[in-house]
Amino acid sequence: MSGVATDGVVVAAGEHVPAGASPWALARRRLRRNKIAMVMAGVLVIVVVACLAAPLYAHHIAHTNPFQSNLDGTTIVNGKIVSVVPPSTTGLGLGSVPIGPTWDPQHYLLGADDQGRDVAARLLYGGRNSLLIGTAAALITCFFATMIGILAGYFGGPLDGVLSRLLDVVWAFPVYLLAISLSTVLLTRSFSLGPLKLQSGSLLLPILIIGVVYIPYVARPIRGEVLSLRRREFVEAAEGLGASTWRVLWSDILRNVVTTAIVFFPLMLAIDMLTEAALSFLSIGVQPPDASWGTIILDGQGLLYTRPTVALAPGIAIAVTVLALNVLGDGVRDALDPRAKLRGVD
Amino acid sequence: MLRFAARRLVSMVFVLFSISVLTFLIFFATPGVDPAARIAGRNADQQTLKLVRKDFGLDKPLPVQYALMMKKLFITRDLTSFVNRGAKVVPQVTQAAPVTLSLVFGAAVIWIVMSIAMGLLAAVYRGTPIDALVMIVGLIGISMPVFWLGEVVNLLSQSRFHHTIFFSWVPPLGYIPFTQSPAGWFKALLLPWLTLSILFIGIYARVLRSALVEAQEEDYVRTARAKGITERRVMLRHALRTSLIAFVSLFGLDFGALVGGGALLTEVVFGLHGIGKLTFDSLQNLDLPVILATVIYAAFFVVLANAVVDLVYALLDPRVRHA
Amino acid sequence: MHVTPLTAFWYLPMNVNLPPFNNLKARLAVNYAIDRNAAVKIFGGPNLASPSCQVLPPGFPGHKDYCPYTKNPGTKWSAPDLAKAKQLVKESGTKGQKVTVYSSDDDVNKAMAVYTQSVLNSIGYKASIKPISVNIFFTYVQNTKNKVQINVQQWYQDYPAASDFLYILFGCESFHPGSDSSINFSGFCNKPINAQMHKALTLSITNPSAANSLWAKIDKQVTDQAPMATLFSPKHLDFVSKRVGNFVFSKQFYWLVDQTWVQ
Repeated sequence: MSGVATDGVVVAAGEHVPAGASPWALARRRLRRNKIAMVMAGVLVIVVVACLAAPLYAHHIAHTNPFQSNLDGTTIVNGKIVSVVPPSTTGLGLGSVPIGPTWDPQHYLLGADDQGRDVAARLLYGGRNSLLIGTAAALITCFFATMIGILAGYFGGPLDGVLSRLLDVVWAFPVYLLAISLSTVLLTRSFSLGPLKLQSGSLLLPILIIGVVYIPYVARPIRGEVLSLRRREFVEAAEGLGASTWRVLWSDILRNVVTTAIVFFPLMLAIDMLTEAALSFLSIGVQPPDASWGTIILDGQGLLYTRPTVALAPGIAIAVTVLALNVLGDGVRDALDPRAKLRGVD
Repeated sequence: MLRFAARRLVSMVFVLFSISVLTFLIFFATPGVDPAARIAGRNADQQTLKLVRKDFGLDKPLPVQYALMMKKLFITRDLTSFVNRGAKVVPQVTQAAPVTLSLVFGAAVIWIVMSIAMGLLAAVYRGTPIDALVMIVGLIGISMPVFWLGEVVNLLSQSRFHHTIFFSWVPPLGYIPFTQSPAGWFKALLLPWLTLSILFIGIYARVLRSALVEAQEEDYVRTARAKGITERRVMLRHALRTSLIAFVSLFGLDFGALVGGGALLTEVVFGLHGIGKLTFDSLQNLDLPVILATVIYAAFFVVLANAVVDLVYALLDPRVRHA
Repeated sequence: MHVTPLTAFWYLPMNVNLPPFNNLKARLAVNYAIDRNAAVKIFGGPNLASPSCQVLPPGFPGHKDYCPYTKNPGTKWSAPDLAKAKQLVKESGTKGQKVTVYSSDDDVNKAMAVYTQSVLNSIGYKASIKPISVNIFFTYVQNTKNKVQINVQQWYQDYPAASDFLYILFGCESFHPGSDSSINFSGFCNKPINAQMHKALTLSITNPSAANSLWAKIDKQVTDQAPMATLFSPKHLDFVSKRVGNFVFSKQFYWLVDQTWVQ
């Protein structure tokens, strides 16, 4: 037996459904049975925990301040005291090259960057910012896109007209260009919005910009879904019975749309982390002294051919995290609507 | 049908106009934009600055400046940059366009071929390890930041393995015009093509695979199979054709965005002076005329692609015309 | 390889009209805290630059070695004095204030800014950096409307006279508030020193050597007032083959290629 039961539970062919199970419990069960998704969830947990433990690592293990330049400092490698940024020995002997990975957690595990700072410690701190910005931006996108999608889709008429036009204009401005323009402009002056005053170095700037820029991407599908839901029998029935607008919105429309928003969330998290990395790489995302995986890649660009670790490590971190999010996102989508796997809703 | 097209055209113009106004406003409210000092030269005295300001119309009210700039950009086409004194904007755009077009077309060819192949493979062998492998490879492609991938490619091809047979043919970073040396043009672009396409291959392979799998459940496919047509012909002739609709519309949108300068990260990393890099540089320099030109250029292609895709859908599905 | 000291210097002009650097002790603190060796390292190592505390570069007419901002004050710089710097910041009452370091956004300048920020943080300020595109940086930091507190600057001689460094960069007449063209980045205007500069300018026409001694004195006074923190004087490298002869270097035009012959 497969199809949509009257309480909104979606069941795949041949799946055993215990009587009275709520859609959420069912989804959780399916997700847990998806082994690959669970492994990826585990990977994400490890990444998050490691990044949150950044201060622990920096203070107690590496004994370093990853936000302070240490050009004239020294450390111990293989029992010998060496300079953190020794003079170059190749070519004409000009310039200086920071030390490479020592694989010793207490002394520059992944080597030093061009300011003599511990790359491993910065990587963990950077992860905190990257994850924070990605999560916050994804929350903003999903929340506002859901609201806008519902308002436009349910009420239709002039409200829909205005909102859709607005979404069109924002979306026609190529996403990266809009993000870059806003970042460039807002970074040269602080931005005041009512009680909110954002200094140029604030993390809220990239969060807001990335969050807002992707709203049309999520709002359009949600609006489409609300449009089709409106015409479904159970909504017409509720309206016919005289239920107030808010009640219809809350119990019928929102409940169904929320699953779409939830499916979008890990996907947006992945996209937002990649966008933040790109903006930081172009120097218009996270600003020094704060670090993020994108800024560390930028730091590593000048050292790419001599100390590639500085650029490779954060990129691998991003790739692993985003991959895990994509796989987990697939798993969430399959759990909430297993027929979608066959329908191929992407 | 004609009414639908006309309506889309009007909305296109409206969107482009709003974007140009928006861009103008965003950048005009920024400090450090006063171009008079830069145009006048180092250590210019106050008199010179005043003269320069008058010459370039920088002391007129905002709407007038906007109108002036639009006129110079589209009608007389002699708009000059604020930063590179005297450099005309329109030639900068027309010189950068072939670079971007070369990059984007080449990458598109690669990613279309590869993603169709991979999507077909995954759909035909659905459920087997081959399917999983293809999908994982695609996913990995989507998960890497494209600029980082470009840096890694550079690391391997320009530095670490440059002396080996694999990469000794790689020229230094930059663009070699086709008219100058077709072989050089190809060699300089091959790695950027591959880098740019990896991102899209993952997405498109997945889209195609799910569309194919869904199509396989459809009646007309079952009918074809019942008629005794081989699995391969079923796939290629029947299922693929309908699945390509979603594929093509998605491609239209992405390609439009790329042509307008969406590949800016790839261009920056590989030193290709295309529209994307031009846009980014102008944004960094707050060079308003160039920014206006490149943003309108980019938005034009995005909007055009949207309209074309919508038009194609309208042709195929009459219901859409009245939406 | 020919290494020639250049008549140029890299320095951090500090805006003497804005907090915290309108306080002399704060400016002195920055001078004591900067590790000029680290700055030299960022630039490319001791083969490419030599640390400096003063305005006039070595070998320049009117230059007399002078460096008070080091562990053993005297003629040459040796090491930073962080303890003294922190003490000065505390005494100045500016501790904890926000400072933004501006710089051009190419690699070396940005690295200098990051390093300066780190130093400012270590002596008690809350520093951030703002790299600006190299195309607009130069005029941006001159305009007082942009409220630039400190930035990373270089000055290469326009002509071989001390006035090109001292008078152009630190004279009252070079300061134009609210204009994109105000080459006196620090807004430094000291009447007595300015009067001496005028005297030296007129003196250089009639008695150049006396003028040079006066310029040396002015150099010392300006350095003591610390409207800037000098980092180093760069050197110029010319890489030529063994077959090249008669290598002639001009401080204004660098390698005079037309005076050279090749075997």
